[in-house]
Amino acid sequence: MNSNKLKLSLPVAMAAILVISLTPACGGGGEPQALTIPVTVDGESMEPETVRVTQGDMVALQIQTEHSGEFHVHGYDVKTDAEAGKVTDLFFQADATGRFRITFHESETTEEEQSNGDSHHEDETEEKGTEHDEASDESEIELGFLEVGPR
Amino acid sequence: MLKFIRVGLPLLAVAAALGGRTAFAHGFGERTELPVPLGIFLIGAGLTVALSFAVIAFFLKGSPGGSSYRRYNLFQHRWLESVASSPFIWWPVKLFSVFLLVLVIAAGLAGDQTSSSNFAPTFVWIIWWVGLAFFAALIGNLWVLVNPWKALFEMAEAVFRLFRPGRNLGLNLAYPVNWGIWPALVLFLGFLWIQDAFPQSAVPDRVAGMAILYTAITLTGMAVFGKHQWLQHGEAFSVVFGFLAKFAPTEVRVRNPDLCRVCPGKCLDRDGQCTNCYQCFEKSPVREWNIRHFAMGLSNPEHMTSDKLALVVLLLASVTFDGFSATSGWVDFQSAMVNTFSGTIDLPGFDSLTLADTLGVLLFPLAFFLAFLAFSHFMSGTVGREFEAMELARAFAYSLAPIAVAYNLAHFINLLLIQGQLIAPLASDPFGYGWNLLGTADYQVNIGVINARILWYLSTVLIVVGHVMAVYLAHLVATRLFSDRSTALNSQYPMLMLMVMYTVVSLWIIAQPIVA
Repeated sequence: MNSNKLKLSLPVAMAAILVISLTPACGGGGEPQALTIPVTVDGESMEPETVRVTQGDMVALQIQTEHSGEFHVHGYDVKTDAEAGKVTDLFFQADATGRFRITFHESETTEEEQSNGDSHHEDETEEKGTEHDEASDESEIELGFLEVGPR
Repeated sequence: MLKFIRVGLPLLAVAAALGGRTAFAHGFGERTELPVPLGIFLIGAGLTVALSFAVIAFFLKGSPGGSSYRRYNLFQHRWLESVASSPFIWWPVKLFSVFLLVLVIAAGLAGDQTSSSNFAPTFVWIIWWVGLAFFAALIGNLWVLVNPWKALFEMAEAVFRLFRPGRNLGLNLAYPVNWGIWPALVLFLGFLWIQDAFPQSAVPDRVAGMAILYTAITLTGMAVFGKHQWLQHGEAFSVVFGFLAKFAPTEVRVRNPDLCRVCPGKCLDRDGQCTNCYQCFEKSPVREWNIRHFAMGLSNPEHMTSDKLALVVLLLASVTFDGFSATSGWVDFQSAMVNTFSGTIDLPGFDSLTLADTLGVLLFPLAFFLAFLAFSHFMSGTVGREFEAMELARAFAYSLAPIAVAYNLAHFINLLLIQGQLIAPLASDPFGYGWNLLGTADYQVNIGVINARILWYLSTVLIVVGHVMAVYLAHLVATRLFSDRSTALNSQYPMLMLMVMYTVVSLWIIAQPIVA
């Protein structure tokens, strides 16, 4: 009889301990904010390497890049064509938590068209062109990550 | 992580150096989970230790009941039994399952070779492998009902019996007793290697190739040794899902000592019954479908053999390695291996990176086994060498299972919930030809379906609860094995240490940032 009581009380006690110990860590992170984050892209990397925001934030990335190309936040699947030498804005609401890849896809049109007349690094893009001969994925550069923490 | 969803900075750098591996485009590796914060990790670890002592204190006061546990038989409702055993329900399900196998092979061979736009990789790796393992552990052994190879063999046998009534299809050679479940373990190890080391595990035509090869092996096995013999000993997934289903809150049971005694599955337990033996279940006129507490199936007194111990060790180690291989520690090891061996190993489909992962797949189970054996040796010391270390390792093997099951759930839940959604568009367009058969081709994956904070707590709670179940089961085994209470209690301190270590390692892994 006594052991029956014990059998019941153990799971109850366990559940209680779990709930009590976990609740204080559950606090909210305040109200969602509108964030403007400048991002600098050069060749292989991005500054800052990890963009950290909190769930619910309205994010505006101000992208400044040396080369023209497509700036892509995976998962959210938002992208924009960033032009060399200009500041390009990318807006999105960070609804989903997690860590998301950010990649840069250098535009191949720059080699052929060169219509914008930007004087940037013609030799560098050419060098890149000779390197990627296999899949077109190869020109996708891993810049860094977007981290959306829970609120 | 499953190899194909690993896409990350260091790995890509390595891949670029090797000049081959391309990242899978949209859908795979788009999102990784945030690591559990230090605070939650510490709370989890603390709870693990505290609750371990709580369980011990509980056992100091009273001893648990015998080998039986409370059950509720759903088949006491006659209509439920007749519905559940109706062939009109299960044959369509079996046919659909065979159709899915054919679809995997057809889509893999003929469809678009991009992993994320082909039905085969997502269905096999996420819906079937991860999803069915969840189902087996949380609900019951669905695989028994939907196994397409079993269904194919049964169909062939039904046709065969039209011509030769009353005979069994195949050679029906006697299965060598000392083989145990080793054939299934070897096949499962091969499967784990594909999951964690084979670089092309998500390439659609490779997935189709795997399915064809495994179909050939399984049908041959059933034809040579008979359907039930091969399913019990050689069919890796019947063995693995069957093992996970011991954790589940449902079971099928036959109380028929005469039937169970002559069963080649050697399923008879000490109470003259057998649990989850589908061979007896098919034959017996009186049967039960029971609801029970989670994990209690692992406390059934079974004859423990070394192959069953190997299965537990393999499952424990593989799920841990799958988690660990996505941490920076493993990526460092990979880089070291690539630096040492690049150039020397240049086989097609097997380079130095694959070698590193292959070592992981093989050495993790070995390390886990040695650790378990070492602690069993300590235990043997605490009980005055009444039992040998290996005997104790076998006896206590099943009690480790809840930790593995819980960690498996914690590790794969976000993969199933998020990447698993890809099956909706893929079901409409399995070949990647631009079809829209079911109208779901444009479904967008909702990456916010589970919040990181909920996931952190869920993972931590799952792992801690799994640990408590493990400690409890080990005590049940100890009280059964040792004659007096104090010996039983003493035997549990080494076991407890091992379990705390393992649980804290599991928690530590989910607290690591995922880099690959």
